[in-house]
Amino acid sequence: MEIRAIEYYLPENIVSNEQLVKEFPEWNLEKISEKIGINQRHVVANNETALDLALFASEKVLKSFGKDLIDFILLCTQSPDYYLPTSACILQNRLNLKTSIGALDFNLGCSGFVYGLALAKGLIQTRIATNVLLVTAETYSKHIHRKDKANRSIFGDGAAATIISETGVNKIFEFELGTDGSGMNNLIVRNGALRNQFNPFEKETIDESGNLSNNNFLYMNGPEIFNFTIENVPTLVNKVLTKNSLSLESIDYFIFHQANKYMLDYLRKKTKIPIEKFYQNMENTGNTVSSTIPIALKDCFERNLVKKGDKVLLAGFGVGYSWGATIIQV
Amino acid sequence: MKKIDFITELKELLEIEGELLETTPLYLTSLSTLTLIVFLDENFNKRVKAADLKNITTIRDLISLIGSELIT
Repeated sequence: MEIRAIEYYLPENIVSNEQLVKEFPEWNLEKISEKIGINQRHVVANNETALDLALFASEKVLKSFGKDLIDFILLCTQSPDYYLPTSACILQNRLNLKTSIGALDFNLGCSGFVYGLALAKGLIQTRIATNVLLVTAETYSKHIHRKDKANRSIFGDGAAATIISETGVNKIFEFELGTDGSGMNNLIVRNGALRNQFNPFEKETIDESGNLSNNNFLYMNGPEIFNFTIENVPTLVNKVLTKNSLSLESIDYFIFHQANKYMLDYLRKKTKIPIEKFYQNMENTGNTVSSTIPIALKDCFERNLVKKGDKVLLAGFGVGYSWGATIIQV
Repeated sequence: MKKIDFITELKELLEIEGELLETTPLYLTSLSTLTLIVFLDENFNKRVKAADLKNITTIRDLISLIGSELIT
């Protein structure tokens, strides 16, 4: 089995750093963009949802792949249109795919693409499916308070659609996965689901950097998330290499979840990955959560950063906490 | 690490203007907290919680958190 095709879709509306500075004049544009490595991000319109982005990305990838061949949809999102029905079911209908297919959503953030590959591999290996459409679609902009400049500067909306197929050769190797729910409070939208309903009277709070938010919106404890990655990502890389009996040197390219430049620079250094083998590009998209890895992969194919036969290590990590890595051959 | 080097490096990392003494009040934004986390991990192999850094008000507090035996 292997990844046969990837396409992605970014919403039309772009928010540049310059626009953010107009809203937050106290913001040090140069300093922030140098640290986070993001100059602009795409943001959905009010009437646009993750499912719409998923549809556009899927339509793009299905242009060059027979619709009739898809026999499973996996949709990763934390921004569903409804509690129910499942977004993947709606997507099946909007894509006019046959009804004799499986479809399900799964709720993960930055580790979502790697988990999606693991699920797709399982479905294919057990002959439940032959051609899986894995869609990652996220609109964190809808979860972020307008006055929360830190999170608004980091996250961008977007969707990616990947086709994983049985091809007789195994190009998706072994996985290493991890979970630690004790980190739940460090990246969370507290209100709006069933534990705490959306509260229009929720009191606003301001953090030490002047970011305003409240429990109806996304809260991220950036420093603690950083600690989580320092603690887990280098180990994750070593473990997935060991599981696949491969050395760090035998990997041709490394694609980590594109969280922000500062974090990636340090993780690369700590993991001892040569800079020329390490992907970093989030300047124009921001952190698109579960779509950063497929967007990066597509970019690598287009810019010939990887060539046929290369072994690429993929690592995703974030909200949950949840993390995962695998190695693919392109 | 020598105390003087420690303070010089912190002054640069945290972009503190003016004199930085052990008792100078420190004001940590989330970005400077991130910077400190990396600095401590890289130089002292010390993992500190963001919540612990919230209680840091001076360089002296930071030295106690790291362990005064490591900064001479």
